[in-house]
Amino acid sequence: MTALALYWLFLRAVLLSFSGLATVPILHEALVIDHAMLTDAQLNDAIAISQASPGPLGMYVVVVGYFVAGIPGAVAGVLALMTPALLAVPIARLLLRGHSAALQGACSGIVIAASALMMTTGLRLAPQASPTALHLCIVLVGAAVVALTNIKPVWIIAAAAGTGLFLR
Amino acid sequence: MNDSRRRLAVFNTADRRQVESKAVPTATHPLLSFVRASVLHVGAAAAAASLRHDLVRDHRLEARDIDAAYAVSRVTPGTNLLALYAQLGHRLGGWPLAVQAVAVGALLPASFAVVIAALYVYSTSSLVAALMTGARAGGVAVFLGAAVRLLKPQLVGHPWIAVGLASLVLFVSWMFPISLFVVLVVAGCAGAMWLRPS
Repeated sequence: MTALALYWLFLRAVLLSFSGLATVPILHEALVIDHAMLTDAQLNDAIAISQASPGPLGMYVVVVGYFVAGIPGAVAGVLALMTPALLAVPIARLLLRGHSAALQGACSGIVIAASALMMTTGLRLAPQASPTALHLCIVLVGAAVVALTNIKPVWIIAAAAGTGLFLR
Repeated sequence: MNDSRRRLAVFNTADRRQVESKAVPTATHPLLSFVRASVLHVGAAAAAASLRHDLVRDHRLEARDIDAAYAVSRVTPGTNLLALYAQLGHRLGGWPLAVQAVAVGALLPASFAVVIAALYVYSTSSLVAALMTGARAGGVAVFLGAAVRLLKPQLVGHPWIAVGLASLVLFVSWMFPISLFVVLVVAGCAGAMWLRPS
């Protein structure tokens, strides 16, 4: 897959998501299932790596691009993240003019569907990420902590990585 | 007495000058706030909070304006933090600063992520492999937790419709090999009809 095709795929995914990790189901379907250019393990690695580096969680797209096509793929990921961000300025004007009810409803619908798709993808990725019962415990407890508390994800990743080291 | 009054006047003048010099925007300083927020913070919330603190402290924008921009960024496609950067950059310096802010917000963290990814790819250490085995489990945990956190605010206005739509999408995406783009577009249309804010 060329960097341009990768950019187009990333852009479509980012345009239909309203949260950093909401693009995961789309990229999982396209790159892991359809094209087999990425493995579940690499996708998990990309998510973990992006959460150990500064910036938004959606930055995992750049790591996915790097895994698939090297530096050109990473550049495609960066550009795909940047492009929709500039749409925020005209959208803000639209919202402030009061033509927002249908738009806000559509956004809510997409966010709800995206969160359900994330759960589906997460449940499919979980077996690969939890080779032992203790790893499965990390997944379950970590998910509950993220969902119910304000602890930063980077601490969950750090604790999980430390546990992995302990289990070696 | 006169001497102390004169000293106080000089101090006040100096203090006012200092405050005024902070309040006057310069050509480069706003971008430095974006750079700092992008490089020093992990996660969008921490970066947004840092940026808000800097811009309010420097009297560049009101806190309520930044909060409004943050709310809009939550309902724009793509990465929320970059959408916030675009809006604040646009307000501070028009389209040029909006583009610069988004570029800074994307390129700097991406560089860090690529360096870490390259180190991981070229590493042959069993220590790194063990670390990543645990980190993968943590990554999936964060991912599942993020899905729940994303859903929770949507349950406020129309809880039953939201739960019904989420359950339907979960069932359909688990059972059938349907295009996710189609699912999202159909969900958007359903939301425009039934999930409008009252």
